[in-house]
Amino acid sequence: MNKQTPLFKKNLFAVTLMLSSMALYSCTKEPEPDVETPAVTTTIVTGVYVLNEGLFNSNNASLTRFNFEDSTLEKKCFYTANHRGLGDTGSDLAIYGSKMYIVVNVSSQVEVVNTSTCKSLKQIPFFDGNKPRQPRKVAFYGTNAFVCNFDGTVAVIDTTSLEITKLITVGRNPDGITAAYGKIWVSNSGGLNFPNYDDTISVIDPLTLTEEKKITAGPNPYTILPDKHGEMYLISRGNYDDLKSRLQIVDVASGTLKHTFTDFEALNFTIAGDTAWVYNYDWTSQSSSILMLNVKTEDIITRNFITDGTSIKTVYGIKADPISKLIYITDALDFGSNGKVYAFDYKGKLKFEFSAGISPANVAFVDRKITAMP
Amino acid sequence: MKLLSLTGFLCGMIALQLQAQEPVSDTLQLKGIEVKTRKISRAETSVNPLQILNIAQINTVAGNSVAEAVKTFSGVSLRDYGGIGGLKTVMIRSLGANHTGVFVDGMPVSDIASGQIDLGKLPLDGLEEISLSIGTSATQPFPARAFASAGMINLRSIQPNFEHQKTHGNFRLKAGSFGLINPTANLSRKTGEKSWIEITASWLKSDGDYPYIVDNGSAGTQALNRNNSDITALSAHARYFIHLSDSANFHAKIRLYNSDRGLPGAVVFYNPQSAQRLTNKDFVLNLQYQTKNHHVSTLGSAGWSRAWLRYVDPYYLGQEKLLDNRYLQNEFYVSQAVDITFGKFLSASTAADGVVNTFSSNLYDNRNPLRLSLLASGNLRYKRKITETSTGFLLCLIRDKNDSGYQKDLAKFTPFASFSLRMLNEPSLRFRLMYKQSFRMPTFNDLYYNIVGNLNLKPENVHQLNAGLLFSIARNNQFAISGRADLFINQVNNKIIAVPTQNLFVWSMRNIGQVQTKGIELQLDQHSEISKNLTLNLSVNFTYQQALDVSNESLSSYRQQIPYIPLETFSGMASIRYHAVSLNYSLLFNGFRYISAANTWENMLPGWWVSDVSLSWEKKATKLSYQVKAEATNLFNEQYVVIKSFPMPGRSFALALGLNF
Repeated sequence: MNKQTPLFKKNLFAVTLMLSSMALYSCTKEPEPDVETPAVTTTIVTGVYVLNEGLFNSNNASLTRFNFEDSTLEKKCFYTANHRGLGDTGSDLAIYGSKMYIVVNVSSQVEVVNTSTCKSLKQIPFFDGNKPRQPRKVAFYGTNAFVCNFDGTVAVIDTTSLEITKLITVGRNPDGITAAYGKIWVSNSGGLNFPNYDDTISVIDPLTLTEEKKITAGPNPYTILPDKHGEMYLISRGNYDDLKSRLQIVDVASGTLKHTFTDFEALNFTIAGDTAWVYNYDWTSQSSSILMLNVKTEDIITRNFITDGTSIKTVYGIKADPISKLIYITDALDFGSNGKVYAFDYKGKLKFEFSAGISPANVAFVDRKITAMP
Repeated sequence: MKLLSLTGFLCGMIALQLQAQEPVSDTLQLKGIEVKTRKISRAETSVNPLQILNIAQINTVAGNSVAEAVKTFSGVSLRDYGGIGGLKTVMIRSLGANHTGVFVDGMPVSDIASGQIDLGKLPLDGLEEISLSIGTSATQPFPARAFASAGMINLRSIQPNFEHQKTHGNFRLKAGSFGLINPTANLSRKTGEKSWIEITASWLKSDGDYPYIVDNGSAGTQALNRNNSDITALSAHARYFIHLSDSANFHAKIRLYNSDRGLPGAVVFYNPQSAQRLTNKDFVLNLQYQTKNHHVSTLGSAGWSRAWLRYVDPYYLGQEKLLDNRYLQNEFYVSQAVDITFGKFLSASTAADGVVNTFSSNLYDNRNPLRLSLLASGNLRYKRKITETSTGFLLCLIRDKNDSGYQKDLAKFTPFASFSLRMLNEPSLRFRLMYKQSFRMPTFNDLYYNIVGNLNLKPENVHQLNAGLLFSIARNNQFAISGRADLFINQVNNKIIAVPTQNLFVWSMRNIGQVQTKGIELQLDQHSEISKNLTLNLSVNFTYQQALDVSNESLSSYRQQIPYIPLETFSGMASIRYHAVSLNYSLLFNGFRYISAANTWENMLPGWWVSDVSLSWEKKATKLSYQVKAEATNLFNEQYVVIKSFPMPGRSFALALGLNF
């Protein structure tokens, strides 16, 4: 359905163009045909998927789906559709075209499923011999999916054949990947070598499928995302000791670290438009906080995004839905029981909430394009 | 009638006499007690909850390690990661494994790094008694350390008997499923009028590649064999004993344990391979000097234990592409204890211990931590005809320090008291009441392990209250039944728990837990001698315990059952001996439990019943005796887990041949 709509739109445009040029070139003025106003296509979000990480070594990663159209909540939709579990420690979730990619870290698999039915199209094992590569995160560019693995590689998956076509060597324990400005950006955490962390960002050319360069950022880099102003925002998790977890900016043109926000701690963030929502969990006070930042001016908008008093116990994930203008915040609570997902509007007011599985961390949106005749 | 009352009187006398025999001290009383009539088990009269397996019962246990025996005691929840090589620790009355002290022949076994003793490392062979006690009440000199734990497991080695021969020995060979081979040899010899020497060595090898089912829905369920579950282990000890005079003796013991094993790891869906290896090299030296005269007995002990451990993970994805951690710990231990009797009713004992623990590793954050502990205990007992009252304390002065200048001192005073009342003589009925405080120090892992460790940890405190009724009836030598019913309440404060800090990769230890446990333990033992050649023994244990997390009212875990503690456990052992043949059956039940304090269906592990059966035959000749024993563990091939994602072995068989001279 999704794919057909743009084609139809293209055809319609071509027909209109043809008709109007015919009208222009005719000598005698003929009666003008009725001008067809082009159909208006809008995208609406029809549902949201939440990947629940589960408990380490408990094989209880799960997928929760909330359908807006009929307000149904499916607690374990991967299991229901496939009669088997996702595996151990779900670490990333992303939708590309009609497919959804679920990265299962400890099971060392990437599940590719049909977004609407959740049925597995392919389970791609990530092993080097018997040694698990431990895939972590996924990003897309053109006809490829890029999965960064804890063994220091980025796997290139053809999105049609769903085969791994290439492994690109990057830095140590990459733990963040995104496609932006025509490149693939990979944050090399080195997280398994406390205290000797990696501090680089690998820049991959998605056409030649090679690592172009490494940019030095802060220690233990994690989530990396673009703004629309020639900059990459990223988290450097520091050393869990004197070096705190910080939000940083890399300048794309010069490929250098431009700024580190030192007046707040940041564990993760999301960007929509010119706003970044940045969260932190201060475990000494056991409190979660979410601040808003203008990525254009680099000014803090507010340190307390939530304005209606909603309390998040253990903030564990954040994702902006720019279409519905909602911010989804996941709450892992005590990590042992089922977590929660909260959706706030941009003003920080809770719109709705629903319960998910154990340690919900990643959110993906199911959208549908609606073509309306005027 | 006269005979009956005489028997009753004798029983009562023996009961009184045997009441004096306590677990640790008993292991130190090397002469043993000769009892001609029915031997009343100390468990039947103890002021503290006490359970005992004697040599006959140990022989009926199917399995190789002490863990297999201890799990049949009531109040015990076993943590077992499966197979012969899997780590096996016990939680007594819902208290963490760190609250259980383990003593072998009166000397403590310790592990400063984890604080937990892997009972899988202690072989069953060569033991004549295994006991489990809650709290301690001294009636003989004890090391102060014996008062330190909430619960105590005591192992006592078989004492050689040189009545007829100067040299004794035995050889035993056991072989079984999953590549198990286990030869054991023992030799003891009288070296003089008053001294003897003994050497035992046991070698064990198992492939451990048992089949299991990966339970992953209708589309994902498959049958696999456990990989990387092999073990090769050598345990050996040598003992020397000498009576220096009528009132003094000296005992020296060296113990060795070397093993190399695979850690089979959690069964992760779609990734069942594991390659982690664990190598242990342990050495223990114990010395004891004991004197005893009319009113004063003393016990001096000294020990050194050295434990080397190497952990290798070839699948680790760090920079070196291999994790290779080596740890070395040393413990030096001295203790002097005195027990004095004042007149007929009153006695007192006191003890002072000094312990030095060192630890080093090749980890980045190795700061060579050191712990110095001084322990002093005092205990006063007042014993009348029908009552016994005892009270005492343990004082601990502990200093922790390391290379980076960290130093922390701690002083802790923990009291205990107990009371018992003999209400009836025959049948015997007793009431007992006990209160005890204890604590466990944060282990070196808790304090120092890379980023997980937390130097601000305080000790974890335990209050225990126990009230029980004990009864026993005996008819001559032919029939005896005894039972115990105890109610207990435990409160744990400052419980040390690992909590995730910034993400699930980084955990840290915190003193945030509080646990309240209420439970009941029921034990029943029955012995009947139907004829000279036919005896029947039956014992059943049942525990119900509610162990609630009361850490924080605002959390969803509030008043939920803590992880891995089943509400109900049951164990039963039955054995029939007919002439030289004996048939033994044991049944163990663990009810459902949860893997986290969120008591949801998803976090629930189902209960399980496991039956073991063994058949043995023994032939005694003039100088030699032979033994054949066949055993089947998990007879009905129950597929179960004790720890989530760690499947336990199904049915397995073993055959053992023994020769004694």
